[in-house]
Amino acid sequence: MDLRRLVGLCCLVLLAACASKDGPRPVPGSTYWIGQPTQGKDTELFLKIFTNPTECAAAFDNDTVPECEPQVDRATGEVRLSFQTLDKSTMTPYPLPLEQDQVQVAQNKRPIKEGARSGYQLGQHGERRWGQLFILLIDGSGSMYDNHNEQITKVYRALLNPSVMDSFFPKDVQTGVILLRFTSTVKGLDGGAPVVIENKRQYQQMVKSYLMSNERGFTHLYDAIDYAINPLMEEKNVKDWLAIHKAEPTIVALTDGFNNEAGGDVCSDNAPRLQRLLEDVEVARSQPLGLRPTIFTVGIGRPINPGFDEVPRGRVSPRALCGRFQNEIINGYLERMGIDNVSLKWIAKRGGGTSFAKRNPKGLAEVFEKAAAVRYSWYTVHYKVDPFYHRQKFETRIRLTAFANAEASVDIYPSGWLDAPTGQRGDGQRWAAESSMRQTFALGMPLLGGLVLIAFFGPASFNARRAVFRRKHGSAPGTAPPPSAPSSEQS
Amino acid sequence: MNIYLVPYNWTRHVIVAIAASTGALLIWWIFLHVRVWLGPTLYSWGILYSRGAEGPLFLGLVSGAIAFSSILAEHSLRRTGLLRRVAYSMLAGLIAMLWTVITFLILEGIIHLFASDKMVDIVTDPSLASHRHHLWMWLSAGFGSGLGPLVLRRGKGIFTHLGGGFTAAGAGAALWQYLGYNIFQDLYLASVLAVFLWGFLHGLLCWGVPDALYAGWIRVLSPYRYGYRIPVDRVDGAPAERFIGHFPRGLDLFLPVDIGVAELHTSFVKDGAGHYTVRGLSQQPTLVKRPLERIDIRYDASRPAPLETELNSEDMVIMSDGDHEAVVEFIMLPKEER
Repeated sequence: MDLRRLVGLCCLVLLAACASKDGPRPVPGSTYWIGQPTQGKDTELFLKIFTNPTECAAAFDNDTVPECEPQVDRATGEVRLSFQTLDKSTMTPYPLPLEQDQVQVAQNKRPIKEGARSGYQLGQHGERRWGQLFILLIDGSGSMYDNHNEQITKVYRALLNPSVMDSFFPKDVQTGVILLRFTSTVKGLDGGAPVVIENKRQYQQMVKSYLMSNERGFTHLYDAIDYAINPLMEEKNVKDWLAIHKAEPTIVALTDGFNNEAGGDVCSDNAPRLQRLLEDVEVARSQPLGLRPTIFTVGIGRPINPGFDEVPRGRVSPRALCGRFQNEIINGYLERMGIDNVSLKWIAKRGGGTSFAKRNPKGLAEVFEKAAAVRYSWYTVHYKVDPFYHRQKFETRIRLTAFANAEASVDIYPSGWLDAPTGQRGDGQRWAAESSMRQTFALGMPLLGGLVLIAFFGPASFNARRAVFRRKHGSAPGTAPPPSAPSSEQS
Repeated sequence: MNIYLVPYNWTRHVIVAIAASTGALLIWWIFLHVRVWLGPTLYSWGILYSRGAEGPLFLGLVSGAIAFSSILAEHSLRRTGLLRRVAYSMLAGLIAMLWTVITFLILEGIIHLFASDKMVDIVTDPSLASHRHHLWMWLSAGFGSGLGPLVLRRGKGIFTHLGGGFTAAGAGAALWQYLGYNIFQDLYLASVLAVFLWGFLHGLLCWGVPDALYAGWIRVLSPYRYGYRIPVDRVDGAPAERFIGHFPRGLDLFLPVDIGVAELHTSFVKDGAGHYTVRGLSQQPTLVKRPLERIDIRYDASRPAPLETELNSEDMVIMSDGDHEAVVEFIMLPKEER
């Protein structure tokens, strides 16, 4: 075997040993590597994390690639990942109206929270309108009409807010609204059977004519929600409307107090009732994605337990629901102290939506707009942690906390040796942008220039110094011309 | 790089350092571009190195580049033939790189072997940026960067090469950690300045331009024969002595009596060890002048031998008869220069 062949063979062996076609792939613009994403267990949606420009270009178009491809910067501890929700059965995009608080990002199982050295931001891309049937459950109990209709007036003003109406009836997609009032029974706003309203004019007429009419009674909130997710969905006109328009039901339950079914009810009485409702909600939410209702809950007033944040797992207990108010009467006492934000949050959490507590028409309008939110076909997650956590491999997990169960994680591997040019943060920008490799010239050229300068300065200074200090020295010879040098001189 | 452009001053101490740090800097730049700029394309072709190969490749290439630059600089100064120059440099680079890659893998194996069960996943993670666990790799790479040139220089300067390489890489590793962890929080500036320092210190510590590449010259500074110069060295490198006086025959450098030079005034000597000295052979004033120092070496008849003093480049020797004086200087110039 001649030398050339041997060298060629060695090169091939080395190349084969090094090649990494199936391993983690390089993150563009950095020295990081990124692995293949893995899906969480028992998910309803496929959460696709984009790991390279080719995937981005295939899913969207080439223009989105710079925004879609992953980006990592060690100096700032920032990571940007893009994801898309897909229908698991068809693997087609399934847009969702996700908000920042509905997506949880965790690095090495630690959720990212806002802090001095950490932060998180969700970016929404590819706006899509989606058929929706809004079912508004409005509390018709007496307290809504107290103080000269104070609470119901807030609802009235919010519902007739132009931006709310625009959200309920967008131009580019068919949506419907069912306005219901609940006390011990659930009826249409006009006192009749539920009707699907399909245009603004009809909606305005219904709100203006019937919302302020008084029908006193107790607050059967849980029964009303149960009605909205079960019997109402089975009513022919509703079922047909959903099927024809391929729309999804979105329930917005609005109350100013507690679930209260009799005058002597204490808070702990609500625990088994809420448990029953949550079980029904779970059954309703187990339907295929396009048919399952999403439940938003809105409390008008001050939360009775403002510190309540995390919904406990497992069954509802009186202690978890009421805390120190377990044996307190609701009617005339607890309901005057505030709204039952705990059960509202519990219902929204299990219902795939969000719970809100608002005290003015503007806040209520925002809630309605959120419930009618546009959907987005893909999202970017920007987050930052202390750069210390970028000194070894880490796992980034993205999980939806609303609408559907979806979760995916991806391993990110920093280089253990060197980095690409540090990202730059523009004026007013929260996140650093990738720096061009041209910046390496800005670093390398001065260094190389410095070396050349030193190499030049050595002989230059030597020559300059000699030119100044090594001129002719000593006295001139006498008047007689000096003899010429002898020819025998050695040199 | 050319010996003509390396005067016999501080430049000759740093010129190899400049070459080695330039080599390190360029290989860092190329490696980063291949990884960041070409990386995704090479990956799609299936020819990008794997994640675990990054450490040995990076250190191996830097070590090889430094060894390559050091030998290339030497042979450029020695004006060796181009083919031989490149071949020697590549051989040095290859030895350094192979040593680094092999020892890297061995050290990784050792770390894996001695790590506790809890720590093994962390310390063997190729993404771990840790001075504590990478220091050994840096040091062995530094050792390799000294070993390559040492082999090519046939084992001359074992301590300076291996110790120098070791120290240089150790300093580079320390800077890498300090900048990457304490100052910049990333390994961009840390890596470039680390390899730069490694190359520079390697050049300073391992091999300097030897005096053998220079020859001593006597150069006239007096108006008469101003600029005229003669070499002290013989062509064959043997010890030599050059005489200056106004004796008309047989002297190496004639200077007339009119400017104060005696018949046989001084001699310049190069001994077998390569040291240069000047001897005063006349009772007329003879002064060696250098910054902050004046040495009178006129001949003392009561002493058995003439006075002499060691010479440094650019020392001036002033010969006088009391009324007039002749000035010559001793200067080291590249041997190639004639």
